[in-house]
Amino acid sequence: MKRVPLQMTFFSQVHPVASTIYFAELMTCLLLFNHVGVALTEVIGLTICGFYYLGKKSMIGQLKFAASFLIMILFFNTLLNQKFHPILWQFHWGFLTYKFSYAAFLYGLAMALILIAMLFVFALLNQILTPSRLIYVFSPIAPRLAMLVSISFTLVANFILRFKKLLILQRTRNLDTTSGSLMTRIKKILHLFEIMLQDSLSSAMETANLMDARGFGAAKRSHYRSYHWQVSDWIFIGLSSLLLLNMIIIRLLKFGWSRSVTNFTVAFRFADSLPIVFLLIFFLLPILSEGVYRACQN
Amino acid sequence: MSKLVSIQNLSFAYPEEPDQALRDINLTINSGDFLMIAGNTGSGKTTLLNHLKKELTPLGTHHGHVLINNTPITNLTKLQSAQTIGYVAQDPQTQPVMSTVIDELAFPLENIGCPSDEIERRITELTNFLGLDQMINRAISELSGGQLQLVNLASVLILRPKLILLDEPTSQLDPLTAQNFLTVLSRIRQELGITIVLTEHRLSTIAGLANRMILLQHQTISFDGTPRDGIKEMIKDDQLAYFVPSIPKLFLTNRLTESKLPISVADGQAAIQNAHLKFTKARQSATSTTDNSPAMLTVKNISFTFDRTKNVIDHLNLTVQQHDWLAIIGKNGSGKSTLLSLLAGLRTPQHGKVYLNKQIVWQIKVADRIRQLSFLSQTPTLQFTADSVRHELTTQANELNLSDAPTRIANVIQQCHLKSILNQNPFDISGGQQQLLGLAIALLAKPDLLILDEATKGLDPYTKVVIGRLLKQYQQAGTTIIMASHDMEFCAQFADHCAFMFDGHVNTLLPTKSFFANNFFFTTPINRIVRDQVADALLVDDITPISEGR
Repeated sequence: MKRVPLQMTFFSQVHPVASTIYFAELMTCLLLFNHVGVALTEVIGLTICGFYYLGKKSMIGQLKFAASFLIMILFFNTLLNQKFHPILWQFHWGFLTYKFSYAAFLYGLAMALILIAMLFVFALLNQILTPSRLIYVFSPIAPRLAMLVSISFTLVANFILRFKKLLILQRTRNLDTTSGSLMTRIKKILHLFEIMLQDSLSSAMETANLMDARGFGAAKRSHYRSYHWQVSDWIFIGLSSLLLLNMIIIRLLKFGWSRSVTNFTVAFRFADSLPIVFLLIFFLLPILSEGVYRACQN
Repeated sequence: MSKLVSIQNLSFAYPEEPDQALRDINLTINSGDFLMIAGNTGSGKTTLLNHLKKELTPLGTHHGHVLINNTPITNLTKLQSAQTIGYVAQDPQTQPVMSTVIDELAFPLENIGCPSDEIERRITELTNFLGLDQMINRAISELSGGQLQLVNLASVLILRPKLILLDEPTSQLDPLTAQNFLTVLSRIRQELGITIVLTEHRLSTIAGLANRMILLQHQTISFDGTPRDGIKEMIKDDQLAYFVPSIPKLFLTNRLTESKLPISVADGQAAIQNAHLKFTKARQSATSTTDNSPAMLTVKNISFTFDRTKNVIDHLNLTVQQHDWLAIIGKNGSGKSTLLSLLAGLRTPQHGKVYLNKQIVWQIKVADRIRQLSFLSQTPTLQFTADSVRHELTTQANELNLSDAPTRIANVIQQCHLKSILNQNPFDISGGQQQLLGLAIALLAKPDLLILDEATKGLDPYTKVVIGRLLKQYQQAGTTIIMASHDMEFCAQFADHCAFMFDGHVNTLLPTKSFFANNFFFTTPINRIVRDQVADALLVDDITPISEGR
């Protein structure tokens, strides 16, 4: 099935303030629960949204990155949480002992899933809240800061592209980051950052001058894009806020949350079903709204 | 025409520089002028241009006055400055700050507090005028160099300034794109009456569009008049003579009497017809001697893609013989730079192989590869690694383990004219000097294969010829050269073979003369005007007049 272009979706047509509130609620939700089953639901919900809004290619790339990220966090969590039980496997090296416990594993897994979900939220936010929408939302509070944050989005993207090019071109100076010991490689990468900083500073100075030349800071900034708050925005944000309120109550009732690593004994508890259901509805709210939006079209 | 800009007794010196960068400049620019500032590298063109925009005025010691509409430029408010004077920089990449074309166009209007409906009106008008209406929602990162420079111009024009300043705006563009850009500028002046002041090395197109030219020599104005008269002045100077476009040069050097000096191809053809001028071949075509040489570089069926949706290089085959000089010509975005990075072993193709002296190029250890092969990219700053020009050269000499390092370093310093900037930071020197430093680093190794990506970008015509001759010496000493270039005349003058890069592969690989003689669009101005008489004439020196007038 052919994917609907992003700008034609309901989610990207929601008022920027409404989508900002929704993303703030999403991030709050991610901090409410820490059980594995709940965290997994969050990742699944966001993956479905990601496939719908960002496309297959982008999501597959993100999932690959997430997998390596997950392994790394799992490793460090099990390494740093050595005093828990049951121990599934242990390894001795001299006077050092590495204990791989089930509780540390589950805790690490939950933490990794929550972090991955957070990354997915940012990837989605980046596409839905475009720089011009971000400026619109934050300009009334801090106009210059909003503008600079928005510009930094573009600059960071350019920085990444330029750094990739630098990595390639510095091989002509025998600076190859793919060879040598770990220490040598780290030194080389630090040197590359130094070069990149010098290069970026000189071009950033020129860009800043050219911004000045086009009147940046000359008067109070206006906005080209004007957005109108619609009834659908009220409904969307009303529903999402109601769902968030429910989840806060669920969290206060201590569902889906454990205070200590010791309590991480099972991957799924029946009591987690309640937050899972609400979370799924909340995370899939944009897609559910798409359906309603299409149904209401002439 | 009313007086728009008045410069009175302007002198300027950069901090801690003993010599003045501008000396006693007096200039009046009238509304509606299309003024071209010509001069050698370092003559003060950019410094003078920057003095016309308050925000870009360089730091240093100033004397004299710059008035815009009788108001000292320093008294203009930021708002007045933005709405009166626009500025377009040399590098199209440095200006944009927003992510899409429409946001970039709205940016200056939002800065001056324009209401939303007025912004919409101006964007609608301007994008239709400049033909940008079909690309307003495109990402800035997706635009080609030419499109980006047009967006930069539009983003300045949208403020409806009285004066637009442009600092070598076409130096990074291919010839056809550059011509389109300059034609748009001419339209802006003719249809909107906006005054245009620009610095430019490529005089061939500009001289036909500008109504006025000033010549900067020794930091002061040595000529102020029409471009035709200016060109006649330039031919008298040893270095500036190289700046003279080939068509007027043909008429001036051969003393072909013409009351109105032809500058464009059409003028040149008309002058030849009117005066019944006949030309013959002046020198024997240089025949390539490399055809029987063994292969230096062999490319077998390579394909490369960045995003796995489209091959940038598509099943490309190429053989370059030892001691050859191959120029690859193509439009911006045709894949030339990607191809060169593959040939240099900096990227690995998804399919096929590239052999350098029978070794797969990307499998050669980097330390060994830089001794055999040197690469100069389009962005030499990304190849810099040290904090001074001298340190750049010593670092590279160390990496190459050169036995005669001091001698080699001294040689390239002298060959690339780096002596005066040895202690400067490579990121602070001018674009042309960065290009020369990049070349010096590449030449240190005396490589078997030299790969150059737009090596003449940002260089003035005199320096270009000096570099061309230098590269020829290296070629004669055994170096094979592969070069991507937009500069037709440079390729025609120095390359042995030329080829097109198009649709992911190299085609029409021919000896230089045959290549240009059979091209219609991608050829030299001289070939365009005399191809009926001398089919393979490419440069002024290729032909000699046999009759003068009726």
